[in-house]
Amino acid sequence: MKVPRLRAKLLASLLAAATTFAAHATTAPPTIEQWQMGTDTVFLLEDHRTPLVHVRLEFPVGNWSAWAHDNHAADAFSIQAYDPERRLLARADRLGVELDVGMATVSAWLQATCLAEDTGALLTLMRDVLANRDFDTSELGRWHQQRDLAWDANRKDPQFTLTQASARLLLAEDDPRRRPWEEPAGGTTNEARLVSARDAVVRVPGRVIAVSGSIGRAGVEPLLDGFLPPPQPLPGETLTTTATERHETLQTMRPPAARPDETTVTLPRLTQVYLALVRDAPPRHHPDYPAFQIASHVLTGHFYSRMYVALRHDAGETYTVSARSYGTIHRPLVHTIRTFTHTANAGRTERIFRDTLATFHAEGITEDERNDAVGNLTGRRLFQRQTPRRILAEHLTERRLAFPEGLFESLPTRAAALSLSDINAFIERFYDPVQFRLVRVEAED
Amino acid sequence: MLVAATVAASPPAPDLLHERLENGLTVSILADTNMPVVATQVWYHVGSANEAEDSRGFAHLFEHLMFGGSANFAKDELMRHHTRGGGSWNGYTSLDETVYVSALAPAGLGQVLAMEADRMAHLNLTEENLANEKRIVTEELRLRIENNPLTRVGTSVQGAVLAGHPYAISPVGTQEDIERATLAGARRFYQTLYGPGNAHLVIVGPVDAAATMAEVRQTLGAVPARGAPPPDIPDVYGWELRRAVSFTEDLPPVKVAAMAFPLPTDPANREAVRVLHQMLARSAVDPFEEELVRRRRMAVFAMTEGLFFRRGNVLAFGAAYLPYRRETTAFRLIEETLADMSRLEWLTDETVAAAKRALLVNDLERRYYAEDMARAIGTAHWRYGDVHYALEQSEHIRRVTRADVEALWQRHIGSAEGVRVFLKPEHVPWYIAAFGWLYPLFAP
Repeated sequence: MKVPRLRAKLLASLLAAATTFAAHATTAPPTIEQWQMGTDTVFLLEDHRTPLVHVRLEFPVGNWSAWAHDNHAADAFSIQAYDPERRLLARADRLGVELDVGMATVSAWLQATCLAEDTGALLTLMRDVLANRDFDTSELGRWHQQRDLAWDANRKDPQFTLTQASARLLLAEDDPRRRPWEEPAGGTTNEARLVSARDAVVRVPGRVIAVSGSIGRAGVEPLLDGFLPPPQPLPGETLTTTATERHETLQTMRPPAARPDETTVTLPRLTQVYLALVRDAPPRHHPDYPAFQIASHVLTGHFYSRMYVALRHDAGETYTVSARSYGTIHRPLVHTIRTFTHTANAGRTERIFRDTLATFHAEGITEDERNDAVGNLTGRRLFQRQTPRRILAEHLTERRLAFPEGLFESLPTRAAALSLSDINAFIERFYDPVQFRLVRVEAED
Repeated sequence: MLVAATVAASPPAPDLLHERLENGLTVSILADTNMPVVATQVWYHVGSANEAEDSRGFAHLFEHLMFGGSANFAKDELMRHHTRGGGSWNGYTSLDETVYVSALAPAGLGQVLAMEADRMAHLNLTEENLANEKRIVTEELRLRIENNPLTRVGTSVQGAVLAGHPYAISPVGTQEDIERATLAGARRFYQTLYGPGNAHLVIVGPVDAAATMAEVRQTLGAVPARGAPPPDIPDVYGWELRRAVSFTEDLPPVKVAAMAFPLPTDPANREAVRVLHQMLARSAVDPFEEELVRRRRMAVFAMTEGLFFRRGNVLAFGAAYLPYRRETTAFRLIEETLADMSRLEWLTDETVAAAKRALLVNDLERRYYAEDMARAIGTAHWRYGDVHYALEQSEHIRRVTRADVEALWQRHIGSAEGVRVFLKPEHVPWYIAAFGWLYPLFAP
């Protein structure tokens, strides 16, 4: 007796939801305060939802820098929080914070989240970490050992191997974008060299102090007086402070003619075959990126995407299909569409995999698929606004990579402005099967 | 200067609306207008630990079948609803429960409730779906376990140590049992375990709690009453565990020795267990690693790790050694280190206060996320029988004393005999086999 009532309610809900769904996705982002302290820039996003404060210090030197690479700056920057007596880490424990310190492609960072009442103590701790000259080089030696063991484990991982072969296909041997998938280079445990490298990194002009959470400018500004050491350019290197002026060579990849049609790598004991269709993909600020977002969503980006339907729902060939891009988002990326199946089924799955790409290229997408994809890109922005830290992190990413301010926020609007024929023209150009190479990881024998 | 003994109070928790509907469904709604998305989770209180001996993996296989469509919604409608609004959805099966999760813009909530109600009342269960999902789940099993040396050996250890206990088998199950699953079995499982009487609906986000509760009554509240929790399972604490297991696997060239200690799951020890875990496994300075690796230089690395389930808590101390090390020596070194730790120099009022402070920071950070709060509420209800614990745990943790943690350590670790797990690599490079014994002389 309750079922018809339930059914009527369900249908009413369906109709209501269909008309109101995207209404909440257009809330304006909050204001970020910004001011200069000499050559350093402070960003503040005040948000009192919880009594927490996140502090992120950013230094404009990353491991793509030849100087940083030659001077083991990534190791130097990371080990600075470890003194032999663990005094600094014990202080972090007493504050209930986890210090996150490291170096990525174009920047280094030191960050942590604390109770708002501990902001002063956290900044003092961070200052002392940046001034520490007593590094635990034994700890660094153990990191190197563990890194080598992790490399050994990675070599047995078919997913890692698939990515490694894809990166090798597109990137030249000396391209720093390949480093995450190549055998780690030896490091140094020479304390004087490491301290010198760290001292140089923390002084490079163009530093950022980013604070978000339950604190206002009046609370944070006095804490920052004399907080960072005086700036000083890197010795012997003409690094500028914007990422776009560096590494222009990283715009390029191996030309298609230099990429073999198929690459097969074997591993022992596998019971599955792992497949990837590989090509280069546009960076975030490229004019084609919004069309790529829509096309990739329709082809592989959700549970009823074209690839999922063909490979999972129609015949249970696989558990997942995914599209993943590797590299850094302000340079062309290594783009892989990947799946897997059991060994005996490899030929059939590979055929469906390739046919689905060919059909997508030949037919393009429909207006309904376009609308769904735009709705997805718009709605996803809500998740970006869950924490002040996330909002500020996106702003810092745009600044760090010299993207136009508000790029990420504008992408759904730009995608929505594309007509169906714009997108299908992009698909015809980009998803031509001839442009893709197949990488296969399979069992030995 | 920080006064270590004080821990700031957490802000007042938002109101939680909690009730059990006439059909047996438990509903919790936490309204928080600061959140941009609304999270909806349906917790069915059945996990892989509730399976029969010959149907391992069935709870997980059934989770897949729940995405097969229902009387009023096509197979793809739930996913398309989320995808077109930029939301996220999924399901997962653990040892203790199966949970269906959704997060999306608040305007999409009504549709989610309608679809959850429809699949709770009128799920499509067909031979075609079952056959397809068996193939898919088998590929998942091959991916997660067969082709990954670490999970492969982890599954073997779980099975051997917990032999006979319902937690002994991974939720993915075995290929043979997946193949044996039948549609009749799926229908029985659905009828007995997937009714409102064995479910908990949790909604967190920018909603009007009273209006949402009214909507829940009209949708999920209209599902006919059926279903009850499965029989409870025994606690790992007190279970006769196998005391020592050893495996050889295709691992990096180190030997790994671990000693695991079951801890009680009763409410009296709940917060002390969390504080102890924070102090040993989550703090930057881990006393076990400090002693074994940094001071004595006997291991390549060492760590403390905790595993927490509804009917089992475990704290494990593990160390990796170069492969020349004998098994007896590897465990003797761990025992010596734990004996040293039993002097409890690492346990002071100040370090206890620090751990409580870290737990408070984690608790506050979770409050930004509707999904995390929903999970905390679902966990509090199912594991602790107290839904309000999700919002009050900082207050409970504040009351833990050094004496509580000391008593926990002395009784369950300091004076207990741990379970021994030893893992050996299949391949050892010749130079490590020949000269590895020199390691302590040159250890960093």
